[in-house]
Amino acid sequence: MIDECRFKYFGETTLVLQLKEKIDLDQLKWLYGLERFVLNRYPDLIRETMVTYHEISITIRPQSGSLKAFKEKLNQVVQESVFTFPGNEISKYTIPICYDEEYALDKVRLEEKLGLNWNIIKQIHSHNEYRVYMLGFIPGFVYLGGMDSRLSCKRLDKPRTKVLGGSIGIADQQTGIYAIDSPGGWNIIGQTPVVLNNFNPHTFPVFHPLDIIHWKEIDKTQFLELKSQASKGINILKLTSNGI
Amino acid sequence: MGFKVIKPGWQTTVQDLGRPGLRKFGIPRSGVLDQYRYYWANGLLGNDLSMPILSIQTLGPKLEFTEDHSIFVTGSPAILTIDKFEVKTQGHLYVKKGQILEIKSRFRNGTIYLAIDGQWQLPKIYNSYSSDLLTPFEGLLGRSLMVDDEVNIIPQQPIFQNISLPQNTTIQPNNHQTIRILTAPESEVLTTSQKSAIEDHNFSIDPTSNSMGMRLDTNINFDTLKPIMLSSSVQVGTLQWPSGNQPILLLNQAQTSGGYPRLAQVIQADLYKLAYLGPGDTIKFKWSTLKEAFYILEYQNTQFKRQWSSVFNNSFEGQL
Repeated sequence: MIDECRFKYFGETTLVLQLKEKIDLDQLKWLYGLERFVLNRYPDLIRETMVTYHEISITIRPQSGSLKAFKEKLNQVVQESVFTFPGNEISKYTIPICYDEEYALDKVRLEEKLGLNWNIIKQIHSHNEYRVYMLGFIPGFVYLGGMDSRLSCKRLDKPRTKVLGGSIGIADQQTGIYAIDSPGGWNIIGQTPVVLNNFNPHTFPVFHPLDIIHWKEIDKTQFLELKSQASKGINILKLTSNGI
Repeated sequence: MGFKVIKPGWQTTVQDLGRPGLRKFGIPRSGVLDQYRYYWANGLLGNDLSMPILSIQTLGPKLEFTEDHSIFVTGSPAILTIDKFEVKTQGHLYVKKGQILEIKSRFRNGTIYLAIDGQWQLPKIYNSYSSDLLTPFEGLLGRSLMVDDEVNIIPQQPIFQNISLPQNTTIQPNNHQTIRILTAPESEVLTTSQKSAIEDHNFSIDPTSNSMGMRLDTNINFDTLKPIMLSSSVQVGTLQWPSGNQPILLLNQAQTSGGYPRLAQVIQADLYKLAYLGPGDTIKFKWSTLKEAFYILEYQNTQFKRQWSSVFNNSFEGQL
């Protein structure tokens, strides 16, 4: 299943295990499974882990011995074990999304670049099932995989200085959700009223890696209504199921 | 009690050791770059070592004290005035209620740490008081100081034994520093001559640099080093190289992943040096080895601990 697996040093305390440079769900499941495994197996040794598309970076505590020795351990683990991510920890959500042009800042650009009309674009975008591939880059940003390739569109030539938190964007083969207001170059296709910029440890992160996402289209009136509910602290995010 | 901000200065922030471990959620580490001087500032005041300090850049703040406090300043040499009278910067200082403390940098670059005695009455998030300039945490946790901010600090009665101050609580900025580096995941795309070019050239720090990262200017021009590059994790001290001649050296407020080749990683023992460099200064990189990097860090930490015990007659109880 794992075609390529290479170890790279990243400074004196971080080891990176790199797989094939591709965006692939099975590969990500393997990486998140490995992350879970090493955190359980070496809790005292590891200071921090981080999974991105084709890598896991593992930072060990400085006093826990050499990185070379850790590499040997990890190599053994990778050879011997099978990694899967526990399905009962994966949640399924339905997220409201409004494709109104007030929020879909790149409506015209997307129609032109994709050669499709807005109704079709909306339909294609909201039809698929998406997976949370990773979080990060900027605080709370959610990278989603699973988008229909007909919607693949290059980033803006000139990034916007401000994209509102809750905006949903497209960059190449990915779609993603901005959690906070920030500069950004993704094509904005809509916005969700779900609050994602509350970084309180009890509520953050809202989505976890490998969670499953479905979109539910809402109109502008519903958007405003939900937004106002959300601002009062009412949970408007629908958890479809816990565990798959 | 505490202080009120008359002038915030530029990017004056509250810092402690930051929030390691949250990169996977996109939350930067934040925190101080120079842990040694951070600990000295609190330690010499008799403060709890987990108390935050103010991290001050070239343009320092003006603070009105709302209670009598003792303070201690470490890091880059500062010019301090209390009610407009210049005071010494070495050792303990007392600021009375109603007095105005102004802090300026003596040099063009360099971070100054200001510790104020007592218990800081600020909220913590993820076990840290650090201001994060990227994550919109509430209040001072999510921004730098602003005019009229008030920070409450319950003063304690510091007991000063007759301690002799250590020599190196301040650092003389050096316009040119050697920073030792180790390999990073994309180092292998470099040819041998490219690798030595990184060592042989000077890098000057661009004025657009900030606490997220230093943009470096150099004569080395790398064309696209790697055609496909997926977003991957970065760390404090990572040297990222987009095509061209302006690599980026990431600092403690940096984003947590990036799509540029990661060519090198600053050794941990040299990270503190980055707190004292800024626009116009130059860096020379030197490739190190895992063994050497460990040895230097170990040596540096041991020296620090030894000095700490000789000053306080107590072993160091913080975390390095």
